[in-house]
Amino acid sequence: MTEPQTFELEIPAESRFLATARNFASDAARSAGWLDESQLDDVRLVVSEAVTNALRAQEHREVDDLIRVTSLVFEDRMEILVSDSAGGFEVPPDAPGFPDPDPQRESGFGLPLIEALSDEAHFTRAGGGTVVRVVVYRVNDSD
Amino acid sequence: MYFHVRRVVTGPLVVVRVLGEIDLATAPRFRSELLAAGVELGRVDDSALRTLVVDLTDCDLIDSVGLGVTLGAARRTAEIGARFVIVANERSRRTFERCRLDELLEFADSVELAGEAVL
Repeated sequence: MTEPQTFELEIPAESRFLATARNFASDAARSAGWLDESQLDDVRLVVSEAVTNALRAQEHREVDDLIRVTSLVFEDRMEILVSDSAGGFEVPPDAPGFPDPDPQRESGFGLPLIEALSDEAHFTRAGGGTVVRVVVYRVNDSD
Repeated sequence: MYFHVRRVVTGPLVVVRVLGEIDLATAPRFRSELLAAGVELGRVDDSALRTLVVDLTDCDLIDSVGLGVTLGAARRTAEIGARFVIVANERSRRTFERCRLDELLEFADSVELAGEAVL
């Protein structure tokens, strides 16, 4: 198996850097030859959601450490890891499932979106925080 | 990051148009524009025709925070008996669909069509 192309980014724990994280992930995919625009949109959004989670977790715990985003681009897939330093006490269960549509619900769409946008999503405690690892398989965009 | 939001009142339609990306950073501006739109909606004379249109034709991304803000605006609009219609491009609409919010919200293909039912 060939080694993945690896890209790393560290951003300050501020929401204005979300766009930087999104661009970083889609640029990594593009530079590895991913062409499908709707899949690149999915990559941008899933990274944004994972970093948003990290930002909120760190804000909740008043931690302002850098948030690290790592993109590993393999032949057939991309793995994105988002690591925070928020203590890792609030690791959600894998596959939180989709909420039923409810007009009163105005939050809580982040984790279901991460699940929906990725082929795999794993939340693990590591070091002083949480690592969200999402895997997205490349669609056939060679045509 | 590019984000711009503006509000246009056309008869009984109050249109909030977003250009750029709605995320944790920009959602507060989106929300305050929707709140202002709700106030404008209350000034529309013919209350039966009041419609709030969220125009996402030029929205490049809407995240979970943006979805929540939209749902909040939809709820407040329903509470004053007005219609709430979203005009979304394909990429924005897909995000609503992923959260099954297309089952709760009304969509139209253009602002003109959104207003057609009332104008």
